[in-house]
Amino acid sequence: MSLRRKTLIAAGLTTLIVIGVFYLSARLILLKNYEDVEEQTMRDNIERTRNALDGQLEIMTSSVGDWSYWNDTYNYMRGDYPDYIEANIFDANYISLDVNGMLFIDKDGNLLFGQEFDGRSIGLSDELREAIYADEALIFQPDEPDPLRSTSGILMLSKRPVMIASRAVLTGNQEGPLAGTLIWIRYLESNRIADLAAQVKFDLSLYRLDQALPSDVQAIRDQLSVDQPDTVQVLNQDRVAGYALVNDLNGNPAMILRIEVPRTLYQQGARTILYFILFMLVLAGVAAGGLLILVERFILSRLSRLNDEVRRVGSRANFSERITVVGDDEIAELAGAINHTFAALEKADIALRQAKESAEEANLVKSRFLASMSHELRTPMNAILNFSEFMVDGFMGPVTTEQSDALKKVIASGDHLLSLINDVLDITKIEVGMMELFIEKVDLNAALDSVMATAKGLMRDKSITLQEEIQANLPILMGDKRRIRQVFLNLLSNAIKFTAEGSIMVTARQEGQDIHFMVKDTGVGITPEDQHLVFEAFRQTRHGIDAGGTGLGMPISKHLVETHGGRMWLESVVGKGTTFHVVLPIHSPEAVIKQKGIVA
Amino acid sequence: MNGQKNKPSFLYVEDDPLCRQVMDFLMNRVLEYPLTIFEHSENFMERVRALPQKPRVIFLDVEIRPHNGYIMIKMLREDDDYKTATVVAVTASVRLADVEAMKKSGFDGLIAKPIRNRLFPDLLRRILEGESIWSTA
Repeated sequence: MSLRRKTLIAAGLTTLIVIGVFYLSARLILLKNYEDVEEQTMRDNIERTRNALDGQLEIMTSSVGDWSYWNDTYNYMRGDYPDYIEANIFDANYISLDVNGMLFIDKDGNLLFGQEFDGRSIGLSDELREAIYADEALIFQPDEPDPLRSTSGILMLSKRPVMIASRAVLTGNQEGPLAGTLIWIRYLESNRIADLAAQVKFDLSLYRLDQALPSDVQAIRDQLSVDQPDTVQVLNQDRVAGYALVNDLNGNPAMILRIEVPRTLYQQGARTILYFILFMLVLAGVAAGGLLILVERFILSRLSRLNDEVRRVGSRANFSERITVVGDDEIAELAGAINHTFAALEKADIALRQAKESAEEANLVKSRFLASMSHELRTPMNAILNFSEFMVDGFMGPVTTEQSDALKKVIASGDHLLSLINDVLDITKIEVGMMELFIEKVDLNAALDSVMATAKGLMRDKSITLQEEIQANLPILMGDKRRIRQVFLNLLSNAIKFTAEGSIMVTARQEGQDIHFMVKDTGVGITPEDQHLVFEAFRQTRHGIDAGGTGLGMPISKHLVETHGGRMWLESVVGKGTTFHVVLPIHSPEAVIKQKGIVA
Repeated sequence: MNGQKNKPSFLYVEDDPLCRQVMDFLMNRVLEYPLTIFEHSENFMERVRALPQKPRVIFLDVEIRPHNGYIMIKMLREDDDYKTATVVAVTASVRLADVEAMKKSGFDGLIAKPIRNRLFPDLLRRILEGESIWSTA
């Protein structure tokens, strides 16, 4: 995965995780706070509603006071103002006072006047009258210790609950003696509850405990008690409800007040959190984007450019080039370090090239020197060999036997010197990679015949037998005739050189696409540790040094065989003899010939 | 094919005195063939044309001044009379590259220095018979 993609994924994931954490903590902490505030507000609302309800009672109680501490009423109660009822109690007054009933009870407890008003005047219901008389606190006795007190509350009647307020009847100056009791009632009906709701500005309902409750209210009922008179219940995402017990006149639970309000605060909180999270999301997006741009600009693009430049230098392998260093941070340091490496590589490269050039030059010089040396040595050999031979052959007058022997030694030494010159030239060509082959058709049987004839001449003075197992009609081989003969002659003269007595066996046969040659002698043999020396130029075994020679024949032969795409190796047992093996392919692989730069 | 009195003649261009002596001895004394020797290559073609008899084979040293073997063969091949004459290089420069260069420039053969007088008569016979000899050993 590219660094760019990794960065993108890492930034994206980090952003998402951070926002997730923000969201969860916002929900857990902020929204919980909103819920707490909501509950507290609901409790306040319940309290407010209660107060509104109580306030109505108080107002009514206060209005009752206006009438009970009035001389007209006082006089009426004492029987001194018989027209009082006719003058004061009529429909319009009920409406303006907003009451639904009045009771005038004298100091002895007799009901002087009692009437209800439900849009029109009606008689006092028995249930109401009985309920009032059943409550001692409502009716004032002449010996009332606190004649200015009032009693008010809710009275549960079967038809409807009513608000009730009672005061003692005193003079206008609130003086006694106490003339009786004035009681007002007000129906607690749906229209009044609607007024109350309008006053407190939320949905409001009242449920009587002595009647069947809706199931949800019933469930709440069980949670409420004197100690826990109210509770708050979340209905759904949009609405919350508050419930409270409402007591009757005697302080017994009589109704459940239910208020329901939209969850404005909570929803606003949730919205605030949502906006906050959205804002955070945008902010995080912008931050992540900005971060990515910065990372791209200050790191990724530079790394990419660095990569391109290093690749470019690498592909051209030109370490003298330098990559651009921008800034002074870690990437710049990296670029600097890479440039340092390039500098080191350049230095090494230059050194290597110089070494190679000087090696090539040395090789060229060596090659030229040897070519010129060969030329310069061969030219005097012309005179040495030919004049000696002319003399031996008697062209320059008679020679004695002694002189003839001496001249023959000169000729033999000259021949040896010439072969040395040729060997040194060959090994030099091999070392400088200039060994060339002249590829032509080679009749191996003919080549072997002539080599065997030469070998027989070489072993004239030795008691060695030369045996051969040469397959007749060996296939024609593609190779350098002169070089192949040279290899055979090397093998044979080598065997003869190291074999004092015994036999030399020459074998040649076709094996698949190869010709396998073996020259087996019964000579001194080569120790295992010396065997590798045989094929190394200018390295000779002890016996080799003793026997004379350049020590170049075998290395040259091995190289010639390998240049033909063949193999050469030896097997030897000290004291028993050595077998040299040469395997030559019938068709020298073209690849080998081309690779060696052979001129065909 | 030639009678005793009408033996083929040979030309040898060589600047090294010892080499000249060897070839002179070999041809005149051993093989008894008439041999003309040029000690340098100055005015080469004029001197060749001035020869009383056109040589049967011309032996050229390659490393010689002022005109080396390659220049002389070029001169010969540009001359109508010697366009097809038998010209053999006698040189110690026997690297394969040298041999290739000589073949390319029109030599008919090569005899390496040192000349092996035991082998030379046979080589010469074959050259006279029209064989192309490249004896580099």
